[in-house]
Amino acid sequence: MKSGQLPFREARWGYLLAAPALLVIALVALYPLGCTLWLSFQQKIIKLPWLHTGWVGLANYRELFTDTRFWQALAHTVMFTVVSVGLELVLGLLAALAIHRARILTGLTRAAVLLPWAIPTVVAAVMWLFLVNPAFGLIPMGLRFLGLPETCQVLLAHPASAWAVIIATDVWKNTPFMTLMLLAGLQVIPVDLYEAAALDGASRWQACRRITLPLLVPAILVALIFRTAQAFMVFGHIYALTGGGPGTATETLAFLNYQAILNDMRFGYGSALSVVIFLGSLAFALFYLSAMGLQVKGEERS
Amino acid sequence: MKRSGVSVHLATVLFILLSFFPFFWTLLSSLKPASQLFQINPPFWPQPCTWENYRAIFLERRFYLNILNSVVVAGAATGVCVALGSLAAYGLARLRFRGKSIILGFILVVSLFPPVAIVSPLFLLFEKTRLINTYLALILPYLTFALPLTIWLLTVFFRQIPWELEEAARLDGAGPLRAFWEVTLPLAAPGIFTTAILTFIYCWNEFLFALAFTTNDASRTIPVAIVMFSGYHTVPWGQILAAVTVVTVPVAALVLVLQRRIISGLTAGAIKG
Repeated sequence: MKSGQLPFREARWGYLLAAPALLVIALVALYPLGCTLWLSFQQKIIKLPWLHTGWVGLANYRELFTDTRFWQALAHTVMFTVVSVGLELVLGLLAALAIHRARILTGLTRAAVLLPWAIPTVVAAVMWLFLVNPAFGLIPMGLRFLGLPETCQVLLAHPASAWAVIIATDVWKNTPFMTLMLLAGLQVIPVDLYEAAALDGASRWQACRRITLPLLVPAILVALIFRTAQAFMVFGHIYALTGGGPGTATETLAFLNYQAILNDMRFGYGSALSVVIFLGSLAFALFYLSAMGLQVKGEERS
Repeated sequence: MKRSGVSVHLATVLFILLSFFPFFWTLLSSLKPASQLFQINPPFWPQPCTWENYRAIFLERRFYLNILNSVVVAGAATGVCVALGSLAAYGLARLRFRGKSIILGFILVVSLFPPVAIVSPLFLLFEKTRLINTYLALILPYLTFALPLTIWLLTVFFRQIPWELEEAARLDGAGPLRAFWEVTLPLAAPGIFTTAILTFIYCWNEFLFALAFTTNDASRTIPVAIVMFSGYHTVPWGQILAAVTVVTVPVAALVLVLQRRIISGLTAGAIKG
């Protein structure tokens, strides 16, 4: 910084450079979001055009909060998020520790990690739909081989097994991402820490518990936050695998929202649900920001 | 020590097998004639191989249109994002000004934004302006998640650039444009390239907007087209699996060639963020 003039010019350039991108974000994201909020106070049902269209105050929200289907979808979404992300964390951690130690076939391992991540969610769902097909899928074939009764083999016909298929698809597709994040975290842990621990006579298990896991916490936190936010908006798996069925047993918030808008054409009610989902994810994002802030501060201190 | 070494290798091999198996099975099944595909206990290898499913998706379903749509939409969205994102990220990574952390925080919040929250007004808008089934109806909403991602990644990459080199070039007598062109740009290019790949993959994979804002077969992108292959009564599994194979092969090639870059992008965005 040479003179007092420079920061001012720098600031002007900074705003000028960021302005186009921020303007576009405001136009394509914030403006529609404002429209969603406005729509959520309207009655607008395209399929029933004779019905009064216009301001109805909080009626959509009242209907939403007394709708058991909404509460059921919320419970499903939370259950799905906790179970899938939890499984992905445990399996991802085990895979990352194994790959980190094994150091074999690294190119192939990297491809194995990236390929499920890189394909569209619905493409993964379609592959699994084929694997669980009751007539010629491999998984029901395995179940037949194990001697399970015929009715158990139609996996998507029962709520519990339908959820198992949805969660398995998600775990298959996203554990690699988790593994990747944790591997990156493992690679930045200095090797001399382990050497020092070995000199002090620590067992491998002690080294893992006292060195690896604590130093992996930031990577775990970031991966968890990303995956949780994604899992909470789960839509593609549900659409491609079960269509929300059997009945409404596998409906999630995003799926219910999509159905309300594009199937039932209820734009007011659908928008109210959108606003609720948005507020939930905003709360989560702010929590994320504060967690990241804490993490950065923690790093500075150490 | 020896025993744990074996288990670690076994776990790694199992992980690789589990990751690849569904792809492998999809590929094999897409080459089977219908009689073997729909058999109760299907044979492992197709005997004989048939290209019928591939012929059908390209000649009967005109799947190439869907591939073209995906390429155009994801390509255009990536282009816009990288152009606007580079400018913003340059400012955010290099210049000092007030409100920078607020802007970055805002970008992060927008990137965690649920896409379904803007479907209803956009649908009404696109319906009114007759934009349903056009490229614009997908490119615009794709910017909502792709642009924050691009800015975030590029900011992380640009922060790692040793800017002193540019200043050194200036001191050696190079003009600002020449210093930028000959010193900064080559340093920034790998980060920009990596960001472009990741943005393209995210746009390529998008499903919700593509489902909501297209209504006919010819305007659908790949993920929506594959899901829509199924009719009410019949599911053309052979064609679905052939389409999955067709779109997965280029992705697999991309991943094999660019794996280091993709991984650096994914982890830069998260770990160092």
